[in-house]
Parts: sequence; structure tokens; C-alpha cells
Amino acid sequence: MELSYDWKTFNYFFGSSKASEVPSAGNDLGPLVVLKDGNRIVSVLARGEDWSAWVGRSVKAFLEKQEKRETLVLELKQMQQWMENCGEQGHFHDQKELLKSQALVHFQSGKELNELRRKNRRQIIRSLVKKNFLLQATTQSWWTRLLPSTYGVFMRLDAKDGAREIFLIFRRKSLEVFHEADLTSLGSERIQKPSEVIRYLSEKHSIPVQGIFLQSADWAKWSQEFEPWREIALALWKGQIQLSPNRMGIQILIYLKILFRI
Amino acid sequence: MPCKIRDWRLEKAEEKFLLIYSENRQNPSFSRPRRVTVAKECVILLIMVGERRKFFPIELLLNYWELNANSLRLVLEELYQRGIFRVSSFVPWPAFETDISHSLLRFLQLAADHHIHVTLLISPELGVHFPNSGIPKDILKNTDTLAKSSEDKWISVFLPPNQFYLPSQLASDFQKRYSSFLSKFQVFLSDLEKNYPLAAKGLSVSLGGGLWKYYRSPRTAAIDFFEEETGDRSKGAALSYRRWVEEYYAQEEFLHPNPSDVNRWKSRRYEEVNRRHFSQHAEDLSRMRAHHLVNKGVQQIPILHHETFTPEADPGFIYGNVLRWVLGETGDFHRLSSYLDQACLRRTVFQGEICPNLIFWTSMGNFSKLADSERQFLILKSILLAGSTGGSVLVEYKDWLSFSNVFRSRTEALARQLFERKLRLKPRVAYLAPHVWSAGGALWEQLANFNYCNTQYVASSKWLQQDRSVKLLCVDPAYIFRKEEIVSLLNWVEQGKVLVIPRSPLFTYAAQTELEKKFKAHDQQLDLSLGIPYTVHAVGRGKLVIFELPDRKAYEKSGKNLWNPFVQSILGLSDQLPMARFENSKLTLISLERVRRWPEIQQGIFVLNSAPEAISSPLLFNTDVFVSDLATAFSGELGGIEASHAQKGRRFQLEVPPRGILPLAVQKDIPVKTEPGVELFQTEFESLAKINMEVDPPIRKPQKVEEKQWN
Repeated sequence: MELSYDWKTFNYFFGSSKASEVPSAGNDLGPLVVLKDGNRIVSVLARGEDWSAWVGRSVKAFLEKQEKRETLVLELKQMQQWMENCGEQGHFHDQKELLKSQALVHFQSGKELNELRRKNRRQIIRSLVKKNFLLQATTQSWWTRLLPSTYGVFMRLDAKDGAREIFLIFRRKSLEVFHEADLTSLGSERIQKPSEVIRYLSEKHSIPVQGIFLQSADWAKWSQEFEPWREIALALWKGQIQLSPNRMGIQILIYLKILFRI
Repeated sequence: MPCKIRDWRLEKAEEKFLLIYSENRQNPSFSRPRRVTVAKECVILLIMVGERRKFFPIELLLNYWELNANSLRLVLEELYQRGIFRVSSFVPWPAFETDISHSLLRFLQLAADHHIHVTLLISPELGVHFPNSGIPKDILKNTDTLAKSSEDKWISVFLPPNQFYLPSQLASDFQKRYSSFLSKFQVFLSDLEKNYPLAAKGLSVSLGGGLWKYYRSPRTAAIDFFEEETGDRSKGAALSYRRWVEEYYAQEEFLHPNPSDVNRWKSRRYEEVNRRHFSQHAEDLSRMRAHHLVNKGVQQIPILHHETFTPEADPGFIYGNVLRWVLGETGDFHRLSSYLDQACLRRTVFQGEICPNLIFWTSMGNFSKLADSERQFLILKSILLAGSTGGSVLVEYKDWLSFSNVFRSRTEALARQLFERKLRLKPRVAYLAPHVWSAGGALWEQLANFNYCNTQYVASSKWLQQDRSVKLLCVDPAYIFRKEEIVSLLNWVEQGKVLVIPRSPLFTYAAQTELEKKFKAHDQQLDLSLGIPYTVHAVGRGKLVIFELPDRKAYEKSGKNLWNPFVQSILGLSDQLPMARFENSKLTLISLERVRRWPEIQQGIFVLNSAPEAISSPLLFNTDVFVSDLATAFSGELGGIEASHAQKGRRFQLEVPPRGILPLAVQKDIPVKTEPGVELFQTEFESLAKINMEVDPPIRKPQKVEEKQWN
């Protein structure tokens, strides 16, 4: 059965890596983010640190105790408002992105974020705007004006322990469906041929489909980066990435992205 | 007839082969020797295919609807090769109702071909990898069918693959749809038994409690998971509640001796009490209906009951999770760990039996973002708390296989001991409340604080007659006492137990009369006051304690500590004071009993350190005990602690590694002579002492330090 939203596969391709359990040492401790309801703490976020004992206690006491540590305080009501708007989005990825964008607007319009040190401010903003480069390009960049209104992207990552695949359908600038396509009817030989797979998916969904075939390790490396387009262009040139069909237009879009850095 | 493999062993003739011998005559497919190729370093996860009526402490999740036929075959083949012979799968309603390709049937046949036992989990549950967690979209579209919290707001579930609001299980649309699904499922099971008996033989069906426990306000639950009254406040629920109140209080017992007394019970003063009783009644009724719908006409397939907890889907995590999704995808390890402490103590009862708890670590939430040592700790803790009482931890098979072989094999050794009931958690203290998911109040909190996992929170006393281990039962002040129940409880006390009840106006006239009759028969009474005034009555071989509720002024002055002396006193009265404690409160202790033919009870004690740093702290016992390493103790010749390996004392200095679990064996006395008939056990605990060793430093043996009197 093909799930419309195969989160496990999606997470494998576009999810972030595991968090470290060890907090950074010494003075490099990042900012604390406190979610409060009135004067009570609802949650404290600090990577690798345990602040759960403070949940339910007074915010004032917390801030007094943590004088030296930079803290960003967020109101629960504000978060509830953001969450109410999420219901209109179809799937969790879009819902999460909407939350992030609302949070970004909130923090940029308020003064609390600006009161933090530059390094901490950048850390928070980075976590709000961080998005996979491919999803960013296909849903938020100027590419959306040039790409068809509906199209599919098929990706296959080859690794030692077997290949992983994902099929994404984009409709009107947004990601509509993501899952591992059922290719069983293709047979064991045709399934290995990129052109056959793409033709099959294109006919099945009646949309143009772009196939991307690459190594799992390369994808993992580029996924950590913000703008890995230069490396991707190089890999395309070296043949490390196989596009199917090998449309010139796609390559031009990539080169333009590198050229104008947009 | 369950199939049992009586003998199995690993033969290294060709380095990589496992031979399984079976002598079962009922099921020829299992009776011939089977040869299974396994990888050299693979883990063999329980081969007891015959145990269909209970959960193995580690249940692996393999959702048949996530995979196509080919992939499913490959996965089952892989599991078979790895020696895994049990899987569980959720059955989302839409996936079953629109299953035109008969994928469920195909899955069961494939599993049967591979001799893999399947448990289908069919109730609505959260954290399932299906849109709306498998709840049909049309139910969620209608806002009238959505549940509401005590704050009159819809309750959000913010987990992948999409956010949605919880439906009300009391809404008629939901009930119709659920009944229709269950009826179709029952037809499927009947057909399976008739036409595919082999597939049916390897199948169990388990019904969960559903969504009732999630009907809590996320705002309150974020501070304390079970702090307030749990229950659906939607329009449909309000109507059902009114109807229930009228029907319940129309019973003769409430009309006697004065029919106008019934208005007292229905008054606003008792609304909270009534709501709790109603919520429990609605949940029990829903489970009963589901059971009858599925069980009808099904002969061989066992229908089990369980209670699933999906920690990350709990309302208490919603805001914390959203914060994490937005600003950094780390999991909240400590909150998850403390959720287990609270959730696992709550036990649902169906048909006089306690339902096993299933802790579902879904890969949908931030659990998968935790570090390996944290995930391992949570899984082990779940196994100790749920697996030791017949429950299980439910983990995605891929997540499980992603753990190291060493961790898997050691955890499996522990799980096997629990499954075979060689080690068991037997709570001796129970707290009877009107609703299993609502707040227990100060008395419950203090009981749980003192006795942690030796305490359980239940909403029915029907199982008491069957469970002999409970020694002390405390009843919540919001509990309504009826004649039948008080008679049954007093009979139970006469067997040498201790019953603690409040002096409350919630006794029916008949119940009150029955109680007074008992007092007349046994007129020994002792009046005491330890912050809380109470009287102790001797009833048969047991004792009945009636306590007064503290007045508001005293409570405001002393807070929850007001209950401390009283709780210690009743625990002492029932001989249930904890046998050991730590000086450092960061360490927790789970004490399991070893079931064996031995005059002295032997305990398997697990010391848990959830902190990221090693903790050194003395473990203090209230009497002299022999303490030794659990692995050494259980592999000894007698199957018990041997004097040469053990240390005697009351105070032992322990060093517990970060996120580590330290297993110890404790015994009050060591017999010198070998006793005939002492059961010998396999040495499966050999490796247990080094659980988590890959990520943690080696565990030190306990060292005796100078003795101190523990007062």
C-alpha cells in the first residue's frame, strides 16, 4: 500500500541528524528557550541539558537563577495561536514549516531576540530557517515560477546496505505527496533502469517526473549544508549524480542558482 | 491448542546455523526440525511461538500496510533469518476497509509461511504511521465529533504524518464507524479461521483502551501529566453524562431509605465525582462492546486486551514537542522518562483482569532523535516497568535492529526472564480511584513517592480476589461505595489485608449499614492522629483504616507533606515499607521478585540512573541483606545468591554509570545446605550485568561500606 505521507522515508531523506546528548562545554552553552504560561514554566529547551525539574515552577525564579545564561522567553498563548493555523496544512512537514515561519516573524518583530548575543541570535534564526536545500528550491525559491504546476521527483540513494527511494509530488509550489513508490509491477530488471522507472511513474501519475540517482553518502553530506549547489554541479559534471531524463533545463537552473546565489 | 517448541539450541557445526527441534503434535508445521540460517552475530529474539495469549516484553512493530507485497516478503524473510518469530501490526481502519488487494490476508499467510506469530492491534491508537493515526478522515471533519478538554478546547495531536484533533469516542458517529469496522474485522477473522487455519493459528488480536487517556488539557498536562480530571467535555459527551447520571442514580440502592436522597448524589457538589465515575464507565463499556463485537464467532484466535501508551502523543508533551520541532529536533529525554514513572503505575482492568501495558515508542516523534544511550535507557525502563507485569515495549522493527547486537542480546535475556515469569513485578499496594486517568490527589502521590513501582493505580476492585499479591488497598476520597463493593472489600480484608478508606459522604445507606454491622462484630478499634486523624479496626485477620480528610487550613499550611506520616504509618501497618532507599534522589529503584522454590524471597533490584553523569550513592536497606551481582547470583549452582559471591550489610556504596541500569540480587538470608527440589535456571543473566556497556563505563560491583543504622 502506498501511503500519501510516508514520514519514515521522508525523514530518512530530509530529516535532521540525531542530537548530541553531551552539552557543549564551558561558556559555549547555547541560549535557553523557555515556554511559559503566565508565570509558570511549561517547557525549557536546551540541547543536551536537563531542565525538566523547572517545569511548573516560577519563571521569575528561573530567570533570577540563570542570570548569566541568555534566555529567550516565549508565551504559550503565542504558540497556541501558531498551532491553530496549522490545521489547514495537509501534512506534518508543511505544518512544521508554517510553525517555523510564524515563529520567525514573531521573533523578528519583537525585541527579545535582538537582546541576545549575536551568536545565540544566529543559532535560533538558523534553526528557524534551516530547510533541506532541495525542498527549499522546489517550494520557496524562484524555481517555482519556472517549474510545471504539477510534477514528480523520484530519488534513489544507493548505499552498501541497499537502495532507498522516495517519490515526491509537487503541486502548486507545495509538496503534496511523498512515499516510497510501489514499483513491483516493473519486474526485477526494469526496476534497475532509471529511464524505465521514470517512464512508469510518469505514466502512472500522468505528470512529468524527474529522476535523481546518487550515492547515499553524497546526499547525507549535502543535506547538512545550506547551499550545496556548487558541489552538486560538480558531481553532475563528474557523473556522480544521474538525472533521468537528463534535461538541460534542470542543469541550467542549478547553474543559475550558483551564479546568482539565489 | 498452543504450539510449544520444547527444545532449541544453537549448533555451530557450520558456524552459522540454528537448529530448532519441536515435539508438537498438534501443529505439524512446527513438529519437524527446522533449520534456520542466521548471521554469525545475530540476535535470537524469543522462539516461543506457542505463547499466543501473552505479550513478549519486546514486541516488534511491522505494519503490513507500510510495505508492498515484495518488500513484506523480504522483511519477513530477514526477520526469520535473524530468528525473530513475533511481530505486531496496527490495523488502521481505512487501511482495512479499503484493502481491495487483501494485503492483510497476504501478510498473515506470509507470516505463517515463515512461522512468525502476528499480533494485530486494532483499536484507535496514536503515533501510528498513517494519516490521522488511522482514524478515518470523515470522523475528524465534523467538529461535533471532536473531543474537548476541561478547558473547552479541542485536543491536538501534533505528531507526523499530520496534526489533527482527537475525536470523541462518545460521539455517535465515531461509535457507529468503530462498530462497523469491528464487525467487518470479526467477519474477516471468522473467514480466516475457516479458510486459512494455518494463518489463524499464528495470530492473536489485541484490543487497546483507545483514546480515553488522552482527553486531558495539554496546558495542565504539560506541568503534571495526570494532574486534573480527565474526560471528554464535548457536547455529545455532556449528553451521555446527563443520561448516565439519571440511569445510575435511578438504581434502588440510591433511593433507599429516602427516595429524595437521590438529589444529593446528583447535586452540583458531586459533579466532579460523578464525572470521574462516568468517564470510567464509558471507557469500560466501550472496551466491553469492542470485545463482544470482535469475539463473536471467533473460536481459535485469542482476543487479548492491553493498554497502549504512546508517550510522545500524550497531551503533556504537545507544547514541549512543538517547541522542539520549531527550534531544534531534540527529544525531551527526562520528561519521557518521568512519564513512564507515572503512566506505568496506572492499570486498566477488563473482566476482572489487569490489562498489560504496552509502551509504544513510535518512530514518528522525537524519540528517534534521542541519542542511542537515551533510547536504550527508555526501552529498558519500559521493559522493567511494563514487561515485568505481563506488558511489553512496542518498537519498530527497524529501530530495534538499528541497536547493537550486544544491547539486543542482553535486553532479550532480561525480556526472556520476565516472559517466563522468573522475575516479576508484584505491586503490593493498590490505590482504588473512580477513574484510572484522573488525578489521584495527595494520598496517591505520597504512596507512589514512597513505594514507586510497588504501587498501582486502578479503577476497579474486581481483580482483587484473583490477585493475591496486593496487601494494602487505599481508596480515593472521590470513590462511591455501594453495598456489594463494601461487602466484597471487607471479605478481602478478612484474609489478612489492610484496607484504607476515607470517612466520606459517598457511602450509600446500604454500604454504610454494612460497614457498621462489621464494626459491631469486631469492636476492636484504635484512634490515632498523625497529621491525618484515623481509626484502625481489626476485621478478621486484617485491618480496616478509616481516615478523616484534612481540612483546607491544615492542608494549605503543610501541603502534601501533611500526608507523609499517615502514609508511612499505613505502609508500616501492612508491612509494605520499601526495603531500600538511596541517599541521592536522582537514582530510582525497581524491585522485581524472583519466583522460585526458595524459602526466602529473592529480589532482583534494578538501579536506574537517568542522569548524563555517573552517580555514586549509598544504597540503604532497613535490615541486613546479602547483595550480589544479579548475573552471578542467577547463574549460581543453587540458582540463588551464594555466600562466597555476596556481601552482607545494610549499606552499600554503588556507582551507577550515566543512563545506566545496575542489576543486583538481594536476599535476606542464604541457606547453607543444598535443598532438594530447588529449581535450576539457565544462565541467561550472564551478560545482563553489562546492559548498556557499549555506551557506559563498566558497572562496578557493590562495595560494602561501614554500616549505619537506617532510621
